[in-house]
This record gives sequence, C-alpha cells and structure tokens, in this order.
Amino acid sequence: MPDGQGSVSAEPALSEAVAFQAIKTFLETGAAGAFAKPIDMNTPLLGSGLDSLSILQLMIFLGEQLHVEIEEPDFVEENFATVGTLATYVVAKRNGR
Amino acid sequence: MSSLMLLHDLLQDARLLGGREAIVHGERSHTYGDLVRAVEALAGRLAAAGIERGDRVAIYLPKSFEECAAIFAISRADAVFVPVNPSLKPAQVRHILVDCGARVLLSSAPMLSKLEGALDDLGDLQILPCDGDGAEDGPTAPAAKAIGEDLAAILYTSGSTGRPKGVMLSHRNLLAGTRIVRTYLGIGPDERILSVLPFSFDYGLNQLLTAVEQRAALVLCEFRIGDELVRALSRHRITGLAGVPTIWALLTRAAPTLARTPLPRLRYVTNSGGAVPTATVKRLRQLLPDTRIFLMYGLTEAFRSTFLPPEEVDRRPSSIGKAIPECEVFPVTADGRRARPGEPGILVHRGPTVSLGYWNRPEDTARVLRPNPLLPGGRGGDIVCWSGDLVVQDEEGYLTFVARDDGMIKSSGYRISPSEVEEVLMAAGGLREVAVIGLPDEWIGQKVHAVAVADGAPADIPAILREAASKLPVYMVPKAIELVGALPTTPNGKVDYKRLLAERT
Repeated sequence: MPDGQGSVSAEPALSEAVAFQAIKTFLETGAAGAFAKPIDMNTPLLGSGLDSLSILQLMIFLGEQLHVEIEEPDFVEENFATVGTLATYVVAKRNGR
Repeated sequence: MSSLMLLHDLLQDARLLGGREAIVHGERSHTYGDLVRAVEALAGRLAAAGIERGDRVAIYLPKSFEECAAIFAISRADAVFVPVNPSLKPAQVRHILVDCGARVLLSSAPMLSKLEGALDDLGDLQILPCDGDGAEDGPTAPAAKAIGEDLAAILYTSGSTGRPKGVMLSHRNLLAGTRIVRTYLGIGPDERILSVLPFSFDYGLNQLLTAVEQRAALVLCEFRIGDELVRALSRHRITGLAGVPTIWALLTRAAPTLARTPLPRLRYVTNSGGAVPTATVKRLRQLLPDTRIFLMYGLTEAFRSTFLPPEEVDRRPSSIGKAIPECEVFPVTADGRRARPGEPGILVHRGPTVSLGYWNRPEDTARVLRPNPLLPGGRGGDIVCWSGDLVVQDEEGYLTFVARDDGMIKSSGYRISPSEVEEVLMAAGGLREVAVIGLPDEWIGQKVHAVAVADGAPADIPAILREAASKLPVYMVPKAIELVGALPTTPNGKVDYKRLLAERT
C-alpha cells in the first residue's frame, strides 16, 4: 500500500508523461464507454460524462499506480478539469511541488 | 388524504396543490400540477399503445422529471414499472428487458443511442419516446383495475450468482415502504429532499415516493466531485439527503468546502447500501453536528428492514439498529431457531414490505421467501424474507452485521454477482479460469478484484479490462486482474473463494 504523502520516499520523480499514461489507461480500461475517443492532455474530465463513482475509482487507481494520494483541499474542479490538469497536479503532488 | 391502494394514489388530489413545487432539476422546477398532467398524458399514451393490466413497461431514462412522471404513469396505466439503471451497459439493459418481457420501453434518443442496437431484434418491444415533448391533450387511460396486491414494480438486483434477478414489489409493498420510512424519518410537507441515487434502487426510489406522499419537494442532482454535492445541498436548501457509503467518503474526505459551508437546513441524512466505517460516521458527526444521522439497512427483497435511531449513533456506530415500524426482524440459526443474544444468525424479516419474490424464478424465490421458521403456517405463520446476511443481536435488541453467507460483493452501494463479472472476463479471452472476489476498500466498501489463470500465452490484461469496461458498468469492472498459477479448490473441486479472500485480507 502507498504510504500516503510519500514526500521523503525513495521513489523516482514522476514525469508528466507517466502520469498522463496512467490516467489514459484508467479511462480506457476502467471507465470506457465515456471514452471512445482518443485521449490527450486536453481531454475534459469533468464534463465528459464521468460520474462521481468514476472519479472516485480514478482516484483509487492513481493511489495504487502512482502512489499519489489526492489531499482533501485539492479536490477542486480546477484539478479535475482535463486529463492534463490532473496529470500536472499528480506530478506536482508526488514530486513535492 | 383518503385511503391509498395503488402507487399512483400517492398523487390523489395533488391537482388541488397544483402550484406547489414537486420536482426540481437544475434550473427547471415542476409543480405537482405539472406532475399530475405529465402522469395523465403518459398514461394515456401507454393505454393507446395497447398497454394492459400487468404488462411490464421499462424505463431507461436519465434522472429527470420525465422519469419521475413515468413511474407514476405506468401505475396509472395499470402496468408494472421496471426502472433500468442508466449506468448499465447494452447487454445488461437487454437482459432486463428480455427477462421481464417488457412490452414497452420508455426512453429518449440520447439514451437509445448508447445501446448500440442491442434491442434491435426484440421485435415485440415498442419503444416510446419520453422526453417531455409529448402532447398533453391525448387520450385518457381508463381507470386502473389493479388492487394493492398486484405487481407494481420489478427492481433488478444481483445476488451471489448469475445475472440480475427482478424483485417483484406489489403496490402495497411500495406504499408500506413509503409510509414506514416517512414515519421514522419524520418527513413532512416542508421537506426538500435531494435525490442522488438511481430510482432503479429501492432505497433511491423511496426518496421520490416519500416526497410525493408528503407533497414535499424532490431535488434531482448529479454530481462528480464532493464540492458539487455540497453546493447542491446549500443552494437548494436541502433538508434530507439519502446516500450510500461512497457518498459519505466523498463528503468527509474529498469535499473541502463542506467544513466552511453552513448547512443549517439539513435536518437528516440516511445511509444504506452497506456499512459506513465508524471513522467516517464520527467525521460526519463533526462536520454536520446539527444533522440527524440515520444508519439504515435493507435489501430489495424486503424493501427496507432496520434503522439505527440518530441518538444511538455515537454509542453504537457500527450497528444496523432495530426493525423499521410495522416489521419484525430477528436472526435465525442454521437449525431454524431464533438466535440468542450474541449468537450469529441469518437476518429474517417479516412485515408488509416483504416482496413477492423474483420474477419468473420460483426456485430462487423459494430460497429467499420461506415460511416463518418460528410459527407453522397452520398456527398463523406467514411468509418471511431470508436475507442471507449474518447478523448478531445484543441484549438490548440492536443488530450488527457480521458477514454475507455467500460470495456476493457490495461495492459503492451496489450488489455485484461475482459470476456475472467472471462470465464477461472469460468471454474476453486469454484466461483459463477466473474467480472474482471483493476486497475491503475504505472508499467504496469492497473493490472488485479478479484472480485468474492465463490460458497458455501471456494474458493481455489491459485488453481484457478494456473489454470488461465496455461490457460492464463502472462499479462492476475489476480494479485489477491478478494472475496466478492455479486457483485454490475446495475438497469437492470447486474454487475456494473463502481462501482466495483470506489470502488477500
């Protein structure tokens, strides 16, 4: 299990490409149907048909795959606007912005 | 209100309160007058389409005023409503329509386009558009001939095996559930109830029925992140919110605005569809100190069963409470006697919400609806509902959930049949064997986890998951497929699910 914040862990820095790939994998395999279209950094997340349960599943998935736990104050619409904004957030969070 | 016998009797004389707000959805607000007119118009269209007493009419619509009206209109047209969860995928929608033998499907063009032609070969199924554009001056449906014992609804739900089964509810079941829940929640005409759960779920349906019974307002809401839910609670001056454990996880851990948004009107919240972790209950009490929290337990087969009174929540946050009004609930041991305090037993429910069993499945029905084990039929014994949930009762009569006596998974408030997920994974190809279990998860209760044996060549796990996600709604898709060399088996050669679970928890 991830140890939550992981700020001083020995894990290598996360790149935006890896974060993007993880989100893309989730959208393609975890919540398909909403995502028949090609996914890029500008693909909207909120407003794409994802419901609260899908967003929650995405969060659990990122926690397990990237060892990033989204902190409560960061559950704001800006961070979930597009695949890109979430990837940027996840990278900043894991690399201790 | 005079005596009620049929579901649409809940709208009796609602016309007299024509200007009163009934259903709110986003910027749209509909009065009781609007609701009665929409119900009459749609019932007339159903009658004109040839719908007769007892016919099944399915509803596949997003949460909307039209969906609310359809539920009452089908009752008004003497038929049986079958609400289909809008998050289901084409194959599951088709299963429900075929299984219940629906004669008419009420839907809309955007919803139908999601079905990818899955209904094209159902020649006997008429599809009627239900998008709010219907004329209101059409024919009037003849008076309903049904009586309270007649079937009013079929709600599809999963068990531990196979495809979803349709639980048959009579008009009396629905009216009893409405009356009972309204009584113990103290719901009155000034309530503004938020509806976030699907009406295909008995617990979600209850918000609509109790609101209409009391001429209260029901606010329909979709949300994606916790803050949107907080905003809806505040903006619509909500007095009552019914949720499942996932919603409390979101509100207590992923809704930063909740702590700084006063919600003085939020009189009560209710939980059902799985246990809320004690830590979440405590956090909810801190965030909503003036809101009463009702922890409830129910199964579709008996509509609703128990609740814990709010004043007991701090003392026994993991209890499911005691029987709802008008019902009796007690644990029964494997040898058929009432369990002693502290002794585990299967929760048995008797009372007016006990359903009529599963549509077209007499054997499954016989397993769930059984003669009262404590009183023979010849001595006045009734038919009771066997829940399949293992519980214990303490000296004071409070019940606590222990475990399921089968492999059924409960995730995000949904019941999931492992075999239904396994069937889809096997059909995706590349696996020789697969077993699906539910692993504990702090957000969603249990997460769906697959343990599989690859069929020769290395299995393409992402491809299998992709295929599963196209065939299953999001809550049923496994979070992971774990490959192993072989699945453990019991002495008689069946997959040992208990061991699979024990090895991973």
